[in-house]
Amino acid sequence: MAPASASNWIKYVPSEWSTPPLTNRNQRQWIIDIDEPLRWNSYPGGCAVYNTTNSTGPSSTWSPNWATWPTVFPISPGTFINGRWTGAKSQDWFDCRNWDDAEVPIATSNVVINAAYSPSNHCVIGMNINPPTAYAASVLLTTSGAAWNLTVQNNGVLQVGGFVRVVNTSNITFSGITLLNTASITAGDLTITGNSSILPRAFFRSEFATTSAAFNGP
Amino acid sequence: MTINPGGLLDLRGGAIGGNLSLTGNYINNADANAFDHLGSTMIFNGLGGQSINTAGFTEDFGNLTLAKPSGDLTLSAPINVGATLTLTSGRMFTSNPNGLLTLSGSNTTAWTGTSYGPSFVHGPMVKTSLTGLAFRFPIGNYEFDRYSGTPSAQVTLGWDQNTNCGILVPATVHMTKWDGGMWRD
Repeated sequence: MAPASASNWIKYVPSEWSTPPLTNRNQRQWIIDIDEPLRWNSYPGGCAVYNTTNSTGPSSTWSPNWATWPTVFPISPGTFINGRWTGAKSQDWFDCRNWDDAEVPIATSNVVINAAYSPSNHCVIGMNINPPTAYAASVLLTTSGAAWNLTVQNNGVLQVGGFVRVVNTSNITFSGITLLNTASITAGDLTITGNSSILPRAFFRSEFATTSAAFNGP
Repeated sequence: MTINPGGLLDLRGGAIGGNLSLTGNYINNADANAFDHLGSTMIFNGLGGQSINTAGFTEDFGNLTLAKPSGDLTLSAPINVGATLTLTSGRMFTSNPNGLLTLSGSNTTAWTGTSYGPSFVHGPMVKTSLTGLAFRFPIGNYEFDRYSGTPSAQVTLGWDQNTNCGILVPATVHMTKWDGGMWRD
């Protein structure tokens, strides 16, 4: 939970606080927003400054009075899908905030990276060197428009119990899975399907002697 | 694994590319360009039967390794191995023309194996070679033809000491050829 370094005089300030009402968010979006350090302002001036309401100037100086307004954080109902990539915060597979249900996929998760769900970032396993092993029951990367990519790198390992499918029916973009530098993937099966009318649009790429792929299904 | 139209499997890495191992079938429903193979290694290592299938074209591989603990690899489409065919374990079933194996590597290691016998090609195959370039291959009891070109080939008969089928005294071995009417010593 943010902020990383605490002070006695801090407040959570949503980005739209000065222009009410607050925007509806689902549970995951509220959790992610409250967990964002940039949403927390500090008030080193002490109690008097802390209690003063201020909605002018840069947002880093705003000071809401949560005791009087607003008293409701509007939460929109919704279900959350395990394994659905949103990329809401970054490209990091291992950041739970990038997944619809705020959980990093496990071996029973059916991972879906789908342009229809408007992810904010591509997906990367191995943002840093020697990441933990990433698991999934299946991986489906699909789009009919914008390109979305999954990259495994920096000694990253992706273990998939079932299928890996890359589908791109767009006739413009180039979308797929890439293994970079040292990386590996094991899965049951691989299917690559593009737009049949033109050049390849869906790819699986593993170009290095230090990258390996194994598909162990029937 | 399956490459459908519009898909691309890219293992190309120049001298050494990526490697991919399969325990299932290899199916390319697109075209030969859908597999970018240069420098790559494709390993068939499934326990059961495996096959290579295309939409009717010749599939090109860089290096191809047969390392099957059991079962056979059947070519249901013609393939060309441009670098090295490694026969470690298991049989590769070929047929002409729709399952023909061609080795087009210009190096002398177009084929490697641990020994004669445990792994071999069962059926017709073609080896393309430059004049004067030697290579060896376990042909078993197959017919040996010059498929194209004009130079006369020099053939050396050999066998593995550990799997020699009872050849104990080389002086008793005879080579014969069929001259069109009879076998001649």
